[in-house]
Amino acid sequence: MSEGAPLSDLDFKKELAETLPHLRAFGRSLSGNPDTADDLVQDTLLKAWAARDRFVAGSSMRAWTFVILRNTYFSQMRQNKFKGNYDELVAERILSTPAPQQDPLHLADLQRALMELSDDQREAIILVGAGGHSYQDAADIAGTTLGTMKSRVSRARATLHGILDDGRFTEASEGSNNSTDSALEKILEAVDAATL
Amino acid sequence: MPNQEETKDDDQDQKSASPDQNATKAFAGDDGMTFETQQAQDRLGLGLKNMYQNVLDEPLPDNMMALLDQLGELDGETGSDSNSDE
Repeated sequence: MSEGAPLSDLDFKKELAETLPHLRAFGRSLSGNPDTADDLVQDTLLKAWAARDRFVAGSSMRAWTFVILRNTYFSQMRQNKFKGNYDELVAERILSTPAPQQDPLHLADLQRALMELSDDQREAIILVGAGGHSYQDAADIAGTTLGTMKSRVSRARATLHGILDDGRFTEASEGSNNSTDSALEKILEAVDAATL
Repeated sequence: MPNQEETKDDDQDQKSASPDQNATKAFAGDDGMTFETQQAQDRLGLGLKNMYQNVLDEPLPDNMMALLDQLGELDGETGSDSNSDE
């Protein structure tokens, strides 16, 4: 198959269908809300279809649609469409039952902790830690460098451990710090990116 | 719709209660971490993977499949290459 040749509509749709569950999983962990996520997925489907001529056959449909989904999400976040909108219904779902002396991890706690992270860090830990993407793939999806991605994941892990293991919810992230990177965070990321 | 979600959730509770061992391994480091740190990492790593996997395991909602089916029909008359601008 020659580079750059577009997929037939049928093949495109087939690849899109295979990606759907991943789009839902990515959207749900990112937004914390099933309904929001499914709206996002539908928007993503429509946008992907409209732009299908630009999809390169043989490249990753998942990565390509993830970019569309995260761009849609972050742009809607900026318009305050669904801020802090995580789902309380799933509060008691247990995600992992670790060693005897540890409490089981509930989905609601993890989702709440994820929503405490900055958008960039949340996206990073979801792509790498939950979705199993390589750092490089994750960096490509998020439109950043490998070093920055590594830094985001490591900071996200540290913050999540602080919240989940010690019950340490940061007061600073209670509201304002949640939707965009602070200037300090950007600087720290840049330092990490240069040293990692 | 919300009712469907709830019944599905019940199934997943059981699945989630027995985290798979591969996920544990993937997060097990060997760089001299304390046992406690290791366990905390397993707990987070497993939780993240299970959170994601739970959604993958859900059946797709009907309206999403319907939308996918309709994609071709929306612009069926004009043809797929009429919106090429590159």
